[in-house]
This record gives sequence, C-alpha cells and structure tokens, in this order.
Amino acid sequence: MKQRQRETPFLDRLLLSAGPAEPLHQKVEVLRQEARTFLTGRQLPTARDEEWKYCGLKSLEREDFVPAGQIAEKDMPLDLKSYIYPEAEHHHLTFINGVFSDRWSQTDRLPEGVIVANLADVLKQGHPEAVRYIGQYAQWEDDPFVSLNTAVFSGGAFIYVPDGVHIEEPVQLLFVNCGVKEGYFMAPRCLVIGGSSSSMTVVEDHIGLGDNTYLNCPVSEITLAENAHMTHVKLQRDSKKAFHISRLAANISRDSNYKSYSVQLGSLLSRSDVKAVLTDENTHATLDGLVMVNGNQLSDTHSVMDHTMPNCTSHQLHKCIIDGEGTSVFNGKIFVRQDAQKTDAFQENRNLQLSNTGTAYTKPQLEIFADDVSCSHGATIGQLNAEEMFYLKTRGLGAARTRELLTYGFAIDVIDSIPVRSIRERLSKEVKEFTSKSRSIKQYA
Amino acid sequence: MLSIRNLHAEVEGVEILKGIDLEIKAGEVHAIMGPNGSGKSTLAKVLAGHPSYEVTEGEIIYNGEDLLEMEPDERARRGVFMAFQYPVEIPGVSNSMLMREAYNEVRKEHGLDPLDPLEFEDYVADKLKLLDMDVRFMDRNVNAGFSGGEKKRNEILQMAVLNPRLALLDETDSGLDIDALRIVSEGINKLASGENAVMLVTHYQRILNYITPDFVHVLVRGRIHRSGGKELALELEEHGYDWITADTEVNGEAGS
Repeated sequence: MKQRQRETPFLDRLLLSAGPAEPLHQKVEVLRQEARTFLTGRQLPTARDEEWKYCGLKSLEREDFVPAGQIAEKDMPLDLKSYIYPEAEHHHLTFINGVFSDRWSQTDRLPEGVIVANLADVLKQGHPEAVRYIGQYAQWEDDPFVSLNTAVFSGGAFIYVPDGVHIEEPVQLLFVNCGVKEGYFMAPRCLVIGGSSSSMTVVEDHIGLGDNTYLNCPVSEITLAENAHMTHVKLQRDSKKAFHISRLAANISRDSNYKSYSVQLGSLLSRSDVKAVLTDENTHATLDGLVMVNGNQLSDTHSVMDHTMPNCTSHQLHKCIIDGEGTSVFNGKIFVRQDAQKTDAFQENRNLQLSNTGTAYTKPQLEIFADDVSCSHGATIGQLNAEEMFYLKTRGLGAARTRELLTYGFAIDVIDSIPVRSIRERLSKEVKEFTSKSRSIKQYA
Repeated sequence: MLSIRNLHAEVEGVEILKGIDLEIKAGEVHAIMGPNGSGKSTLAKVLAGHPSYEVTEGEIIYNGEDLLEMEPDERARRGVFMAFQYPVEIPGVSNSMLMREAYNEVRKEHGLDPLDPLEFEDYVADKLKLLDMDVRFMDRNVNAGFSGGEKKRNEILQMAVLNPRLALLDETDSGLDIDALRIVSEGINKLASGENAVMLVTHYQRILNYITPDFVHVLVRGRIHRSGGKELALELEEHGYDWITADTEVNGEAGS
C-alpha cells in the first residue's frame, strides 16, 4: 500500500490528501479547477530545469504530507503575544499551522474603509476587489507551486487600503508552526490591494517553533494603484527541517513605490520567487534580501524586476552569508523593455562565505531592450576582509569576536533600511544568534 | 620598553626591513623619518603584527616579552596601539561599540570590571573634547563616510580612549590641514607621559613643529641610516631626502 502511494507523483499525492477545498467563490473554483488540471500527473521540477539547477527537490518528493487543517493545535504555547511586534499590537492576523486563528488575531484601530481579514472569509462574502484580483498576478510559467497554492489554499490574509488612506502602524501577518510530529503542508494565500495615494507597511512573519518537517507554500499577490506606497518585510524563520517555497508578485502602477525586504533564516530548503512589474512611469521598486544559511540549509532566490515603462527606478541589494555546508543561490533577472527609457536599475548580490564547505551560486541576468538606461549590477563571493580583521585585532578584539562583528556588519545594512524599529531589533538579534552559533567563526583564527 | 634587534621582514618574498636596531624607553618620543618606500610604515605594521609581513630574522622584546610570539589582539591588550595611515572603514559597527569593547578588553587585562554604555559615555566625553570632536561621531560606523581628517582624528581618539603604553603613529599627519594637525598634535602631546612611549612615523618634518621628538631616526632602504636629536629633522627639512640618500650610495651600499 505504502509502496503504491510512493509511485504516485508528489503533487498528486498532495492533491489527493487535500481533498476538495471548501468552496469560496465561483471564480476561485474556476481557478482551482484549472490548477488541478495543470497539476495532475505533473512531476516536480528537477536539476535539468534551468530555473531549478541548484535547488533539488528530491528530499521534498520523499515526504508525505497531510493538510495543515487536519493537524490539531496541540503543543502550542499558551501565549503567542510575544511573537507580535509592539507596533502591530492592534492589527495582526495569526495563522497556526496554516489555519486562521481568530483568537490570536486583532484588527482594531484601523482607519475607516481598511480591511485586514482572512482571505477565505472575504472571498466567501464576494468582496469585489478580492474577487477581481485573486489569481491575476501570481503567474509563473510551468511552475507547479502557484497552482498548488491555488488548488488547496483555505485561508490567508486580505489587506485592502482604500484611496488616500494611510496606515501608520504596520500590519503583521504571523504564520506560526508548532512542533507536531506529523508532516503537513500549508498554502496561505495573501492578497494586498493598495488604493491610489494609500500607504502601508506589512510584515510577514513565518515562524517554526519546533524542528519538525512541513511544507510552507505561500503565495502573495500585491497590487498598488497610482501613487501608492508599500513597505513589505518578510521574515522567514521556519523550522530547520521545513520546506518553504514561496511566490510573490507585485504589480506597481504609476508614481507608486514598493519596497520589499526579505530575510531568509530558516528552513532546510527555501525557495523564493519574487516578481515586481513596474507597469507605468515614475515607479520605484526595491527588492532587498538577506539570506543566512548554515548546516545543510539551501536558500534559493529567483527574482524578476520588470521595467516596462520609462523613468522608473529599481534597487536590489541581496546579501547572503554561507556557513557550514550551506548553499545560497541567487538568480536576479532585470528586464528593461523597449519602452522603458531612462530606467535606473541597481542590482548587487554579495555572498560572504564563512566556512570552506559552503557553496554560493550567483547569476545576475540583465535583458535590456531600451537604449537610454542606466543599469548597474555586481556579484561577489568572498570571505571576510583581511584588512578589516587586522584593524579590529589591533584594537584588542580576539579573532572570533572580530569575525563575529564583521559578519554582523555585513548583514546589517539590509536590516537598517527597514522602517520598523522592533523588526530591526528582532533581526539584529537573529543575526547575532547566527554568528554566536557559527563554528567557523570560533574555529578559524 | 621596546628593543628591536637586527629586524628583517619581508612581504610576498621581498625584503623590506634589512636589519633594524632600535631602543625605545618609557617617556620617549621617537620620530621615524625617511623617503617613500624606505620601510618606515612596514616597521610600524610589523610591530602591530600585520599578517602580510613575515619576520625572517631578529627579535622584538616588549617589556621583557617576545612581541613576535603575540597575536595582534594580544599586543593591543598589552598596550601596543597603532594609528593607521589609512584607517579602515568598518561597516555596521559603531564607533562607540568598538571603542567600548576595545577599552573593556584593556580593563579586563588589568583585572578591572567592564564599563557599561553609560559609564563609557562619561569616560569618552573628555577624550572627545581633547580632539575637538562631536559626540555624534560615536554613533557613526567606524570611519564610514569620514573625511580624511576625521579618520585621522578618530585614530587619535581611540588612542586617547585606550591609553596605550606604546603608540605607533603611522603617518598620522599626512593629509591633515593645519588646524587638524594642530589639534591632533596637541592631543598626542597631552597623552604622552613618563609611562608611555610614542613612535611617530612621518614623511614630513611639519608635525615635529608641534611634537618635539627626543630622537629622530632616518630610515633608508630598510635600515636606520642615521639617528640624532630633533635637529636632524630640521637638517632634513633643509636639504631634503636626496641629501641623505646620496650619502647612502657612498657609505651604506659600499660599506655593506
């Protein structure tokens, strides 16, 4: 019996175990049907696929997962309050093992017209904007993971900020995973709609409290109308045995500004595909990232910055710290379409290798079809700077402390641009914890 | 305090120091002068323990101990300080964080309790005044975005904080305008005492208008070519290095 189950492709097994999803809306049903059709009989991508060259999914394929909804909330800490950033005290949504928790969510003190709610509820009520935009932007060719999410998602966040409305405090989306033995999969779906001249900060926090195996497959779609501003922080600290495969698509209109800061610390394997489409003039997008891997972790970021119209700017600083046997992969595509004159695009990928056994792959990929643009890009893989180390040593700091400080310094500039104080503090703590646990930092003098 | 005997050092297989002998006692200020490429900065770096330089011969005894056996950080904790010719920018580490940690390392060495951030703030206030520096410098990342003059001043501020027994000042004067030079020099003069010693590496005589050395040594091609009192510096100022290198062609090279 078990043997026969193994022969069924991974994605089919997941669909089978998920069963039919709860009906949310007619349009969603159509999308789900399409997704199921696409997935049926489909194999997971392999190293032969260019986009998955360094990101093997064999270890994922071996797993059997049950839907998150079937896992009881046992072993949860009694109090989740400590995971809520003080700035987001009044508006946060909590998902426990992928399931929306009314008890740990709070959405008061929001400006009039703003909606922060469970996406499933909003779709069931037929909110016109939610229905209109769901599934519109998260489109990757031949990618099974968006389809998987579409086929099975049973909840997630919906954030709607009407025209001209500014939310002062950040909205936090907390995805907590407790350490249950049984392997499960979750597919939260988020939809964020920023009206014209609106502004908001959203913090997406994925936490694994145990060291158990699960699959977290979130998909986020963001659309910003004219002159909208959004800061989006994503902190991934899933369990060190988890699989985190996420998709994020942002659609950015004229004069609007989207800033994304993504920090990947957890998971055995994390794969993050990000796409920002600058659809009109005078638009700005930031896709900054910080990745830290240790042990046998692998973290792979594939990004697309798509400049379609003139006079837009983009910024992408992606830093990776590789320790132990860890692997980091970065593939950053920048498209500058024929109409996108006067584009100013910046991309830099810096990899810091602490150990002799880690691996870094980097591939900046610029495709420029316009002739009057400024695009700078750079990729480096290196170790700590010897002159900087010597300088700190001449100040009496020991070799290990010197390495620790410089590693911290390497990571900190991505963190420093994040506008929410308590998130910066949290991230600083995470970096310090990473460096204090690093054997390479202690070993090599 | 410091005895250097027959010191030979090389970098990437090229010998730079070719037999230096030098005695420095507590309370003394020594100026090391010489043309570009003579090895004077190398001497400072070897004393501080720069990993690129290999000592191939000779010894350095510091307060009765073999300095070459110590790692750079151990030398620092024992009171050796180098002000860099090109101070290094350290991203993400604030001046106050570095200086407090560095100072606490020295305190630990002397069996003293570490200072907490507030206590350190009080301690550093006077030192900032000494160098006419704003307290906001402490919150900035080490040397990041500092002007050339600010970097040099920041080096002497660190010297003031750490109160070293042996200060190696590597071309601290070069690149400073006259006001900054005066401030830095006054700072160094106030820090000099009967217990500590200063080795001042410089290309120009200018700084010696403000800091009076007890000894001047002229380095040429990796050797001390001539030693004397402060008047030697004035002589150099008058005649230039050509005067002394021409001299070497005859005496130095022919003699060896």
